[in-house]
Amino acid sequence: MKKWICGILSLMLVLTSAFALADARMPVSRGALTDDADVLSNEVSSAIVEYAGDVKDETGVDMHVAVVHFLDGLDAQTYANQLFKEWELDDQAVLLLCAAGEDSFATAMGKKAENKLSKQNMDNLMYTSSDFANRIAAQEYDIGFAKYFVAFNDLINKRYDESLKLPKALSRAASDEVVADEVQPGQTTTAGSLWQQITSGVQQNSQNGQNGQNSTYMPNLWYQTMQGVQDNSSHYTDYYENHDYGDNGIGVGGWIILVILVMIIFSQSHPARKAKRNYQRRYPQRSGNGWLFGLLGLALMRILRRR
Amino acid sequence: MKKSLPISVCILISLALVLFGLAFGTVKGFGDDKEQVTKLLSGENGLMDVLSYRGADGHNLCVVASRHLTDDPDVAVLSQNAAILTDATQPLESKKAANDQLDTAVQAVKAKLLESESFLQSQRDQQYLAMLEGDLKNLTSTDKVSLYNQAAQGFNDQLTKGVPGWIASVLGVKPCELYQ
Repeated sequence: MKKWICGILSLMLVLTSAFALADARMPVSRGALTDDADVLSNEVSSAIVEYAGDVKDETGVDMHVAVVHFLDGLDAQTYANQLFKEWELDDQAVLLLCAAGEDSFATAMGKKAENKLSKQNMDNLMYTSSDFANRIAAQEYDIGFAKYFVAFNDLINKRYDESLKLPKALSRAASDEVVADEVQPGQTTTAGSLWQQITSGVQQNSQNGQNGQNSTYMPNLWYQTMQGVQDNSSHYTDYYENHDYGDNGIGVGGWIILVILVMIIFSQSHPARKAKRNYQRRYPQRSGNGWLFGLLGLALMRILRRR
Repeated sequence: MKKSLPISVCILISLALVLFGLAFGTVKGFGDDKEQVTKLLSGENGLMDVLSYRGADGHNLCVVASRHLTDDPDVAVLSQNAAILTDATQPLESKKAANDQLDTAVQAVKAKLLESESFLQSQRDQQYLAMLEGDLKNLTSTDKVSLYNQAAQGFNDQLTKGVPGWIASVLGVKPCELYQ
């Protein structure tokens, strides 16, 4: 019995601590490939997008790749699972996450994809079936991803009984024909991404044209976060500028309604009824349109005040 | 023939209506104002998120540092402060203390990294250090703290002066916690 209680308490503690963690910064999905770390060459990036499209058409599996610099204190699997939810990926989706600055990676999958491909197989793709783990650790991202997709293609052809072919760029990169590290300082080849050029010294300390906030390179994700922070402040500033604290309490509309209600109540009183009867006896031909005109006057005053 | 109400009953009903109107309007008005101030604190990309992002940068720097420094006490201090900042259950007071210590911890880790041979040979990690420092600086330079404190103080001042403020306090509208 004690073991059960301890077990339940431990589980509650784990769950509580997991929920206690604040949200990590997550990139916005840009389709099949979201390379926020900017570590993949244009050639390999295009090939991944093309291949993901082919896989989706032939098998229904929705392949997504996300590359970020850091995981903001989360482990790769937790981050991948959260990103999967954040992007609202479906049961047929597979998400391969790579954190370039942490040399770590993970796969998250929907139920249907997991049933078909199995978590074990997908983990093997990263660690054993391909040279992915070693290449990522060596910061050879193009080759690492190309080799991953060669192994992934074998798995998907086997599981779905298809004969999908990889785009040439991925096959070439996987066979080490294009090596990202070969980018020489000063060379402006498509194989070298902005981040690779920066870390190889070509544009060190240069301003990122898209994201430049200060003199150092800033990934899109952090730039967007800063924009969000500024938007939050502007939202309050706008509210504050268009609002007067003295307005708190009941508004003009509220007062009008209250006055009308009070008048209705008092019109039901004995003296009011008596006065009304006397008035009708004295001036039988006059109607009670005064109420209507009074209300119209108040509405007019309100409109004019707003203008 | 309709039954007429005595004038005293009419006065009582009217008084009750006016009081209800005042109470409802005051609570609603102050509630809206408080919601806006709360959004500055705990809304999306509010002050709590900014502190959390700074904590996340602290964690990220720990990852970079762990490649070059092993069992380092300064990295441990940075990690502790980062953990408090990213923990959603920590009170504002603890977060402020951790945030105040974060920059010192970052500078201590940076100084040690600059003495590390392996770090000086890693172009990537030098760039990561610059990136993380830049982001921490950007997050600090936002007007979040002063704007929140100003907004919270303004709201609290309204609660303490005037009849509407008094009514709101009596009806349970609580002042905002200051970041101090």
